[in-house]
Amino acid sequence: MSVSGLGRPQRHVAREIITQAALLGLHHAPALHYTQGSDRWEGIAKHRVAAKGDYPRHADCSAFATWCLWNALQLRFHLGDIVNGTHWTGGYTGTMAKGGREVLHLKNVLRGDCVLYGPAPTYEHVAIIVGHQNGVPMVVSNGSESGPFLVRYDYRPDHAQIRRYI
Amino acid sequence: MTEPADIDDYTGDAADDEAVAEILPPATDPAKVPADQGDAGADQ
Repeated sequence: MSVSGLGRPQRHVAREIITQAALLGLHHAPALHYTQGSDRWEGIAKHRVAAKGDYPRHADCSAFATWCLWNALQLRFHLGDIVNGTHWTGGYTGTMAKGGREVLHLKNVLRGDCVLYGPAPTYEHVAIIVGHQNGVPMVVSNGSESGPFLVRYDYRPDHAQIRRYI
Repeated sequence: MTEPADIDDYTGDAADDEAVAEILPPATDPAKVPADQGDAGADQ
């Protein structure tokens, strides 16, 4: 059984939606402001739908990654919050580390998986896989005001684990 | 759930990903990425 309970065709659709959401944020980086304030969850709270070209104007790393996942898991497949366990109302890297399941082998990484950085158990940063370049998993990372950036998953030396929610 | 996610349950998913490999834009040099500001953490 997959983490989400979705079958293979649905997982494929979910990954496509998640990737498109992450790339939408990447392409609108100047308008997506980094914040740790309460408005970091506006992507979900204001129902900003990536399929309609909408994206959050404020987010931190975990809020952005969760918004990407929400577009597929909740909006498309009507699943509960299997990412943070907060009914899609909040969370942080510590709750994302409790949700989903770990991907043990780098060769098995898929789009939509999330990379956690920093010390366990709460970690301090998260980014979302959007594909591979030259065989290297690539993430969209929203970790600062000038982001999001497309970077290789190991752009930070403290990458700690990869988790899957699909 | 503590068992890993990449054993058995996802057979074929990698092929699905490869079949529609995104044309990703050029990546940013990690050396040019500003330091991440961290995560907001648990709300009080």
